[in-house]
Amino acid sequence: MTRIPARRWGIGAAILALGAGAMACSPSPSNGDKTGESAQLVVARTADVDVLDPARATAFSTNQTLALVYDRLIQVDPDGKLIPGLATKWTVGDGGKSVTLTLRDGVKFHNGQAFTSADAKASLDRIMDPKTAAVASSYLANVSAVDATDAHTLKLTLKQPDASLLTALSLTGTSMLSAKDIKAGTIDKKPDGTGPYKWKTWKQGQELDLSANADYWNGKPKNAGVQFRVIPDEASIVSGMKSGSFNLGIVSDPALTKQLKGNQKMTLVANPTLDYHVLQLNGRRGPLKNKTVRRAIACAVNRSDAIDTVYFGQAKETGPIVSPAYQYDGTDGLGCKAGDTAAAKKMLASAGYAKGFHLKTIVMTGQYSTSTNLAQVLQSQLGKIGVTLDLDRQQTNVYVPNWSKANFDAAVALNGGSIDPYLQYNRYFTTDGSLKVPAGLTDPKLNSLLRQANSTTDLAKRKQIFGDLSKALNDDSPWVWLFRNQTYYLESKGLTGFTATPSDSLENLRLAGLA
Amino acid sequence: MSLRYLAGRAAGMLGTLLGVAVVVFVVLRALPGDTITAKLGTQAAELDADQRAALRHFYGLDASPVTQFLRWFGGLFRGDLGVSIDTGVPVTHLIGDALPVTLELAVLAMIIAVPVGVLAGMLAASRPGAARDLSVQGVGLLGLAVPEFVVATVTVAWLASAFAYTPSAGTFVSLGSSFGGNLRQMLYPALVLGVGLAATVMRTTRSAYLEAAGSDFVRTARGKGLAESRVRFRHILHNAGIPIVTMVGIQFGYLLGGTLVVEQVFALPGLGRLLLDGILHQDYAIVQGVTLLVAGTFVVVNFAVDIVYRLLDPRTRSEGRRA
Amino acid sequence: MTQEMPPAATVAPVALPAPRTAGQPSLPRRVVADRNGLIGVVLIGILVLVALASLVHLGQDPLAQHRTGQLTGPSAAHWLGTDQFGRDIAARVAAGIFASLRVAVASVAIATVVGGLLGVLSGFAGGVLDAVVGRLTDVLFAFPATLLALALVAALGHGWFNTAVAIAVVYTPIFVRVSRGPVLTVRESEYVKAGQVLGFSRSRLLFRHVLPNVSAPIAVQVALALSWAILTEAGLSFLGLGTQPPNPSLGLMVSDARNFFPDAWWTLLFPALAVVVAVVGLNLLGDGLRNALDPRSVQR
Repeated sequence: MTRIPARRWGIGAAILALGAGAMACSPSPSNGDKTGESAQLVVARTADVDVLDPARATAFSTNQTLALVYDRLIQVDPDGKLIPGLATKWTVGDGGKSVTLTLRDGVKFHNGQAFTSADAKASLDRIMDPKTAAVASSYLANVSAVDATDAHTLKLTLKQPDASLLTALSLTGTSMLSAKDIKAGTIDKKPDGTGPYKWKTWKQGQELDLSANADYWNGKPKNAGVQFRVIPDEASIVSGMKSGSFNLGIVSDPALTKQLKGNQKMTLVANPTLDYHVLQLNGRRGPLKNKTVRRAIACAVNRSDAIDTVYFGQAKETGPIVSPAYQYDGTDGLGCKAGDTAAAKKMLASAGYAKGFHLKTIVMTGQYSTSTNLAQVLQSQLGKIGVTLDLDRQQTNVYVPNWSKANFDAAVALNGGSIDPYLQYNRYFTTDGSLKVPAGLTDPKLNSLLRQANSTTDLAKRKQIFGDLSKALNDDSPWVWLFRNQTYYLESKGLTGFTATPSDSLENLRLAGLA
Repeated sequence: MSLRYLAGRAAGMLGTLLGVAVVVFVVLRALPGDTITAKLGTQAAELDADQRAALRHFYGLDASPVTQFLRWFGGLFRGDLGVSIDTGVPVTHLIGDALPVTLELAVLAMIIAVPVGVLAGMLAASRPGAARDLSVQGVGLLGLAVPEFVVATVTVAWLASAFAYTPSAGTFVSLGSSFGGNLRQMLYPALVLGVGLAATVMRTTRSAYLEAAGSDFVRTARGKGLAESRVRFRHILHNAGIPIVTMVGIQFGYLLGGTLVVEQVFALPGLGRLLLDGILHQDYAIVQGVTLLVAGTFVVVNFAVDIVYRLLDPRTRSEGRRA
Repeated sequence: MTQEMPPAATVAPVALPAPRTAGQPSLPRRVVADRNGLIGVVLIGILVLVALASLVHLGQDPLAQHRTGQLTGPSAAHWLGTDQFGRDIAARVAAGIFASLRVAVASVAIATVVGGLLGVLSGFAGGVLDAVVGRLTDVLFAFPATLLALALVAALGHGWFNTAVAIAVVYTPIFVRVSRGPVLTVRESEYVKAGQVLGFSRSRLLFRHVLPNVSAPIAVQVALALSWAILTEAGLSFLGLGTQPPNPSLGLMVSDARNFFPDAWWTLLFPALAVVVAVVGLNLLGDGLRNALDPRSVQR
């Protein structure tokens, strides 16, 4: 006790010194000062990889990462067009009931073994085997047989024509694994693919190191490797970028970007993704059973105002179809200008609800930052036509059971999109869709349009059908489509050659370097 | 202090802990939502009834609550706190990783707060009612009144905007792997915690010091002509020591469960974050394990403080139970 | 929640007051006569007025969103600026103070009545009741206060009353202890013993003699508990539990303001200031009460 005063200044000085030290030596990227092909890129994001088996991957960050280690048979370009991957070409035959793919020659797994049709067959068979419990199995539901006709030809026989199958072959879930690894049962132990990066070390929940695959068939990566760091708090990613700790930071909270205007240390790239914000209405309940009421709500919502408040003016409005490959007027079929309060009021009055009503609205918290803000804006906008959203914010584990049982009048949701509109909606609006309950209504017209679209591979015809689908969805207004979600890429000043994609894949990391 | 008394207190402690275990168990089961969805997220919407039942069985969630409790309680005696459903890692491992972070945070906060608080309290008490007393008390009151989440938030924002420095930007550096790196990450959160703590210590010191300063032996010491500084530190502070030590001990027990907000804002992987995640994800085993640990520590610290108190102060020996 | 003021450690030491003698000023007068007490009364008075003003919408609508003028600084139109939605911060802070005080008052009222009664009864009756209540109190004390409030709010669900109940459960044990201690002393005192000899009923003894004597320490504790309740409510809503948007709550406002600090400092400063003023005010009021009730501390 008595000696404490003597230490007073010592402790004080130590605290000050430490503080100053902390400021001076803020953490720096572990790449040292290497540039060009010897550069090690440090990427910061909020989530870690959770499983190592691509067929069982559901978490977004897992798909994003495994796609760098594994290749798919088919790839997607930024416009949503299918382009060659491990398959150099494919032909659809037998009236749509078979697909023959020619596989790329000279591709090697990271373990040195060559990639052949035997690996491709084993990979797809494994997904279709119920014992694998693969998430991707539903994508291959129409495939009845996979045959390796020769070392570089693969033939898929289908039960019925399935136009979305080719898109499904471009997803991480259908990655090409080595037949040897499948047999040895090492798939979920150490990733071993044909992709641009090799799996190096993984400290769960903290960091993951990938090293460049010098033998990559599409050209050696322009950097030596990538290190992913898990920083759960997005604000910390932003300040880490400010202090130069990372080369690339991936965040989703638009509020963070407010502080970045004119920051000299980094460039901010806002990337519209295929995911979309939507107000789901439950067409099986109360006033919402009435189509005119649903359309009135859709008309009353002002998308651009919502974007201004929630995304500070930087998001893309969207109609039902989000794919860049299929573009339509997003309000066609709605019968009004979006944000037309007067028209909406008239419609409500004609439906007999001039006085308005209350809607039990569920909002998911925790998963994405903007939901609560969006809900508040929608509440204010719909308040003008007498429709009161009673917001109920729920954690994921409370929200999802309520959502999947359609235990809501309205739901503020962020739904996953796809470059193939059929894959975007078949789960919701076909009669055997797995999510037809939360979809809020069943409409035979939507069901038949979706089935038609999937039975033809003719692009012009599909464009026509999806246009009709978009119109029909607006006409029915089961949901109110708002705008596409946005991911923000913070690129440090030295980072070159990186471009983001609508699916938020990081495939272009292999083209990135440090100046 | 009889052996019987000690045994009685120890039995009481165990009873309290059993009560804590039961309360946590019941409250957790009352949470809305379900564990399976918490783990799978939106994917859970696509599970059918059979898959859901299989998963519940796999995680032992289909047993009756009493069976679940007995299973968990039995595990305690084998040092098994169960497995986190969310991550599949044994809770003992998770606690093993998180406890050192929170302990270190608490110790650092104490190292900062105790000297500051004791000195400030002595300064204030040295001339009650004078300007120095009022200003120290004013600052102390502010230290208590400004919410921790405000201090933490402002500190993080200020460090980032003024110094482009983020304590949490890197991955967490454990004390073992880099002393300096670890200290850099822990310093600011510890300072934030220290503010409120120093204020509490200051207030306790001030009143204990005033109490001691008015006693006879101090007057005697002064009468003997001892130097004022010697009187202050040797006699007054020494005698004001018991309440201060008590306060510090109890505060320490509380800190283990009270670092949640600071850990959250500074993104430190301590017990508080583990708990919050556990509650939000309904990871029963985590919440049960951490609560029992924190409550256990608190009860033991209290017990220890009580014993020390009794040894130091004969007057309390006669009373049967603490009031 | 936030400052983690341990209930057990901060049970205010209050000497039992001597029975009131004629000619002494009343308690409120004595509190206001104390410097700290006066400041506390003034601060709390101002907050209560502001909170009441929010009820009758003297200022702007705290929920009204303004498309133009989002995140603008203090101005004549919006005294304390606007938030991301263009909502008036002054109106939101006022409504937030009301929400805060409502939860605090309700939770402390519950804790005082339940805890106080349990404490008095168990202290007066002794025996099995005392043992059971004592054990329950020990269990609740052993919990980290933060965790208990957090878990209870999560289990009870959102809404101000549920938040109040959760906070009340955390603070009930304090009132049990604060009231039980003095009851033990009073029970052994001459005048109660005399009453027993005279054959007064237990209830008469309880209400006429015991209760008046434990009300003083409880009064001090109420002021302090209110300040913890305000901090706890703010902390819970900061973490996203408790008050739900769009309804204003001081903790939630600070949490929302994080990303705009220091650029839009007004979004963070004013709600934080409201919490600080409330806590300082209540602590000073508590000091004032203690001084007013403790004859020894006069003029110290």
